[in-house]
Order: sequence, then C-alpha cells, then structure tokens
Amino acid sequence: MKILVVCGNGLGSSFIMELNVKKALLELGKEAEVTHTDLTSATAEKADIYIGAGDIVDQLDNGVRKIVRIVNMMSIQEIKLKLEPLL
Amino acid sequence: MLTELLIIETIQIVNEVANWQDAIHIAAAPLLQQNKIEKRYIQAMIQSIEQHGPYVVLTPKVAIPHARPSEGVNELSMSLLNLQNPVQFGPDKPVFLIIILAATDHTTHLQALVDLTQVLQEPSQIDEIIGCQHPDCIVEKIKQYATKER
Repeated sequence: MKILVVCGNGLGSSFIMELNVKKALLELGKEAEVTHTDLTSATAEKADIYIGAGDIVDQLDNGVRKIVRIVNMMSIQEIKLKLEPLL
Repeated sequence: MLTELLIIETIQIVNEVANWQDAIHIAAAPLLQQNKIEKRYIQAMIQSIEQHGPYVVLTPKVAIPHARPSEGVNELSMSLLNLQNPVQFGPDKPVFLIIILAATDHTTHLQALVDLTQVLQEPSQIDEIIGCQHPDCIVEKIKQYATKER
C-alpha cells in the first residue's frame, strides 16, 4: 500500500501532512508507505491512494485514482476518518 | 529549529489588512528587508495560491504561504504575521496567522516544519498565539509548544 501526499510545491504542506498521515496510520494500527510530492510529479507517480487539500488533489482525479480530500490538514481525526475505509 | 527562525525580528502583529495578497506582502516584509528572500518570491507565493487555490490554509485560521526555492530564496527563513482581524484566503477560509516559509532546498527546513506541526496540532494553542498582543508573547508560546514532549 502506497499513499502519496500531494501539494502545490511538494515541500511545505505536503510534508506536514505526511507527518500527520503517518500519525493517523499509527493510531489506526495500519502500515503503509507514505511519501510526499508536488502536483506535477504526482501525475506521473503511481500510488494506491492520493491525499491532499481538495484544491490540489481534485486535479489528479481521473475517475480511476483513489483520491482523499482533506480540509484540515492538521486534524489526525479527519485523516483517520477518511483514510480508514480505503485501507 | 523553529525557534531560531521565528524570532522577535520576524514576527509582526497587525490589526487588519486589505486582502490576502496584502497579508502576504506584509508578512514577508521582514525577510525582504533582511535580504533572505527576493521580491519575486513574494509574487511567486501569490501566484501559487492563485493557481492552486487556498490550500496553504493548512488548518483553520492558519496559512503557510510558500513557493519554490528557485523562485527567489537566498536563505532558509520564516516569518509570522498575526492579524487581530482575520483576512479571507478563500470562501469560508478566514486566516489570523500567516506563516511565510522560504526554503532553500527540499530538506533543510523539514525540522522546522516538524516543530511547526507540534505548534499547530492543537487548536487551543493556535488560539493562544492569536491572542498575543506582543511578539514576545508569540516567541514564548512557540518555544513552549515546539519543545513540548508528546
């Protein structure tokens, strides 16, 4: 299982969110590979789940990819709630 | 590391601003003055939001505008603007704290971001910082939260 955290530039918000996705997985007792990148690179990178702010990940939605839209990137609770059904 | 970047000289408290672009200009001013960033970096941050939407609002009340290292960063730096009255970064995205991030590569700033997540993890800690009336108070709170054991 590979989870890709995506943001516009791939160096600020996506890293912060990667930390929080890892915390969420730990709390859920699940394991997955988590990395972060920018939107442009993400279009060429294969992952099981793409997660990020709605503004960003909507641009990755091709009807096939599993997309998770996060509103509050600091909320472990929200990340857990939205990730769990897909794990 | 966060406490070395967010210091009295890079923290400002302002009553209100005209719009989010104005907020970014004011928030980044100390870094521009100290020549840590170039003027084009401010434009790049604004363009990034215009292009991708207000995703820099990581959590309610807090925005972390940033652009790429190649877009005019001279030295790893951060600055913080505390608004007494919020500015809208998008529909239903009121922001009180604008934290500018200027990174020089993809790794050296990461410890500062780890520290920052410690600060922003608790909504009550965000409110405490917003409630500060003086930069000293913000420096003190950031120090307290960033080094807190979890």
